[in-house]
Amino acid sequence: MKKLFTIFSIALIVFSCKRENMDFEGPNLQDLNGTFGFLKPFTADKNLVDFSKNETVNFTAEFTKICEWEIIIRGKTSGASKILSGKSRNLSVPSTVWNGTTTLFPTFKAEGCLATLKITGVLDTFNLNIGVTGVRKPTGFVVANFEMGMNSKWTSFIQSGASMDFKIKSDKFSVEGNNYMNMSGIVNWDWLIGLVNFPGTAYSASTNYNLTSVSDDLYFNCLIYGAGNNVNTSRVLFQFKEDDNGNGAFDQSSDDQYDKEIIVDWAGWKLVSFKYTSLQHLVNGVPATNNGNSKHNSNKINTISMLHLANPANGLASTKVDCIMFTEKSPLEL
Amino acid sequence: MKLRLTFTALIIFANSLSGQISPKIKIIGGARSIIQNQDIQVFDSVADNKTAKAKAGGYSLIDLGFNIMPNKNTEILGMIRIKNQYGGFYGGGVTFDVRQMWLKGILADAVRYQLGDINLKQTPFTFYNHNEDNSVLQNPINHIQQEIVNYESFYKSNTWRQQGMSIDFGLNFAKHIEEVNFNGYLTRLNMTNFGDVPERLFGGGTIDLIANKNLSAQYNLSSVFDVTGTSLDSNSFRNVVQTVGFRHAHSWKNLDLTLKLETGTSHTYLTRDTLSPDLNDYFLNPSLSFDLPKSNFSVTVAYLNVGPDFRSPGAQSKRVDYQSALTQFGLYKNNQVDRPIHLTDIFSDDKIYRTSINTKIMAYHPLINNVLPYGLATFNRNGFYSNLNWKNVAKSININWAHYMLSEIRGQGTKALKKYTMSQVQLGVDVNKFIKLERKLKLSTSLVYQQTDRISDIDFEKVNLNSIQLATGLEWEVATNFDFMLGYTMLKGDGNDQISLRNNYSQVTDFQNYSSKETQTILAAGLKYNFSNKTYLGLLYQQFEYVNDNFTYDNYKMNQISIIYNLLF
Repeated sequence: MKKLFTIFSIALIVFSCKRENMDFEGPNLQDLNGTFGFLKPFTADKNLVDFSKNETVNFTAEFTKICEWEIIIRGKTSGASKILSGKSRNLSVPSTVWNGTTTLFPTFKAEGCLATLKITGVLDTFNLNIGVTGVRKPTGFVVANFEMGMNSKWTSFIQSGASMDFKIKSDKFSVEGNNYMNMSGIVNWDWLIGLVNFPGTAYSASTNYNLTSVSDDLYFNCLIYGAGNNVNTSRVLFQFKEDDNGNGAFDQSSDDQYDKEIIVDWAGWKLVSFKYTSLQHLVNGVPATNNGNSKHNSNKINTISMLHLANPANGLASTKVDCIMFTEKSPLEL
Repeated sequence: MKLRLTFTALIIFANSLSGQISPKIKIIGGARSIIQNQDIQVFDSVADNKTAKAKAGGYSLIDLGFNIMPNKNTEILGMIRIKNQYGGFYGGGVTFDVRQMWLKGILADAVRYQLGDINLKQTPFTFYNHNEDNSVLQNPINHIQQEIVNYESFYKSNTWRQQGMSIDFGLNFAKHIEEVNFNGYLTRLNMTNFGDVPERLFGGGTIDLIANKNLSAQYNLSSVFDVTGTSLDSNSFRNVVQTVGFRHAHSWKNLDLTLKLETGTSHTYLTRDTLSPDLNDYFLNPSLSFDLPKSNFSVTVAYLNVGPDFRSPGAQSKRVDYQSALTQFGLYKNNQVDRPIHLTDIFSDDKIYRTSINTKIMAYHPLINNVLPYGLATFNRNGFYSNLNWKNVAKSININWAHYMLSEIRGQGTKALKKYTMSQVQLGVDVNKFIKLERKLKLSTSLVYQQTDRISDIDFEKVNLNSIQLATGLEWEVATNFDFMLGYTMLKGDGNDQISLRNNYSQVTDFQNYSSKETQTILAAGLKYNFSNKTYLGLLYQQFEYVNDNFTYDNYKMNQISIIYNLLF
């Protein structure tokens, strides 16, 4: 009997352990499956916005249940789109703040925009008109936006292939500002279609780019257009040539070179961003040992080369680039 | 011809390895050869011209273990595996692996220790390899396949194969207490990558106080912890489970009564992550058994209460990883989707089985086990269960019946609680004893019925999911050592449930609607020649059919024929 008493005493002690008092776990099923309705209507905190003055538009709404929602903002003139999405019971900061950036390029212009709220499982859509009076100004170190044509210190090489179109253009494909660089042609004996060198001397009196010495903070960004139906998929190869030994020039045998090869297999404009320290030295597309100090020295970048490559066994290769920029701490937002 | 030569050579070689090289070195291990031919017919909406519809192949392997006793207190085992895929001669397809290595011995004639690979288990709530995905008995053909899975995954008596060290020793007393036994272990769950993955260890132990043969008490500890400083992430995972257990036996006339209790707590947290929850909870599992040994009859009734925040990775890790890719026809249909894990894979695909402890909550199959997907350690369960065993005097009939009536403790997305019912019946009959046949003729059948219910006035809160698993088989020794086998297994599910989706902290973030109206069936037959109780040659055939009434384009049929030679020495 004594033993049994001991056993049940211990059981009682355990029973007295406190269990967290919670009615239920997870989101309320009522919130997930109830009838949809608005508790607060879909509104924007302003009808006119000037993104050049760092203004933003905040969208708000409150629903009767948790909804999967999407706000699509379309530029009526440019055709640009910004998409905000989420799953929540209400629309609130920070997931519903539009700071003038773009999801589907080209970038927004000073124009009228239509913001459409779509709720999964709800047939109706809800619209708001927003007027953009000033566009967002990208911040960072601009390597090339082609707005002023070719810089006299840039150098280029273009193969003498067929249908070569390697020039700055301003037409319906313009994505940011008015101009972009078009690179296309048929070169059936070499991978290289053409290249442009951007030396550090084009931007300052120094031979190197005037960039942060904290290489891990540095991002490289570029808008690249993919033709989509390109039989001969274009590759854009960026080469970052450092001057590790400080002799004022890149020396292949004693300096580092970091490379990024981008296979352009998409349709339309796309913003490509990557951290400088994520780059490797490539030889024929394969990672290889560098010849300098093997450290990413962003403040020692001497020259950037942009090469347009394509398999010579195939046909026409075509791409476009714009807005080649460095940013610090985070990728470029356009 | 090449296949036949290899197969014959393997049999001769393996049969010749039957014993000792010297008194201190023994050779142990096993050998297996499988030749398989499989085909699949998918009833897709469009003709599938992208995935293969048939497969032929197989392998032979030998596990060669050297059991060395350098002195009377030390024993060492090293086992290598040589595996050759058929068609992979001249080096291609041949692999050499170390299958197991351990060293064990006795220190000062008092403390036993083992280093290397160790099979470990404690109690069902601390460290235990539950087998909840095999709640229905396998038919004889599937049983052969499952034995291979168990051998490959080192599943033996509900132990988990771990790598590390263990010690155990005991003390005997003259008064009050007969003996106290101690055992402890420390194993490595994963090694650091010197980046974001820390060194994760699993340690624990048991103190067993035996007052006399009728009264004993036990303390158990199991703990998973990251070693601080072994990764760049200073955040460390911690889980501590502590339990106490008691056993009191009492005999009264022909009746043996046994009262058992295990109860304990768990604490799970991350040391520096302020967003992570600090989970504390407890469980309670008392049981009372009535045993009539002379009548071969026993009944157990038990109460189970496992808190919703009770976390015990050592006891809640599942054998089957439902996220893993399948070996046979892993992609199917014209759009090359992943074929879901079905009964046939659970019985035969050893690649979907895990051998390690998982600190995250693993996925489960609602039709296979929705009531106790993590065994008795399944969290958020409260209720009673009972178990009944009976054998006739001649021990030619064996019946086992288990019944569970449980409910949630904490609702999922609603205050309404799900109620769970599960009934398991197993029946084995040695027919030869009734009709006085000398050779074996055995019938076995097993049935598992599960029901999950949540009653509510609101439609979207209602849950009703039913499943039935049935397995039946026949084993008949038609000639000396020559068995004929038949088997039928069926899983039928109907209804709906809402499965909780959890984040990395194991918090419920959403619910996935699960709806089922499906039937899975296995029809199997086989012939087996037993060279000894450890060696056989078998010819097995099975047909698996999956019929989903909700999504008929997912339906398929799979045929498989295998020749298996298996030897343990």
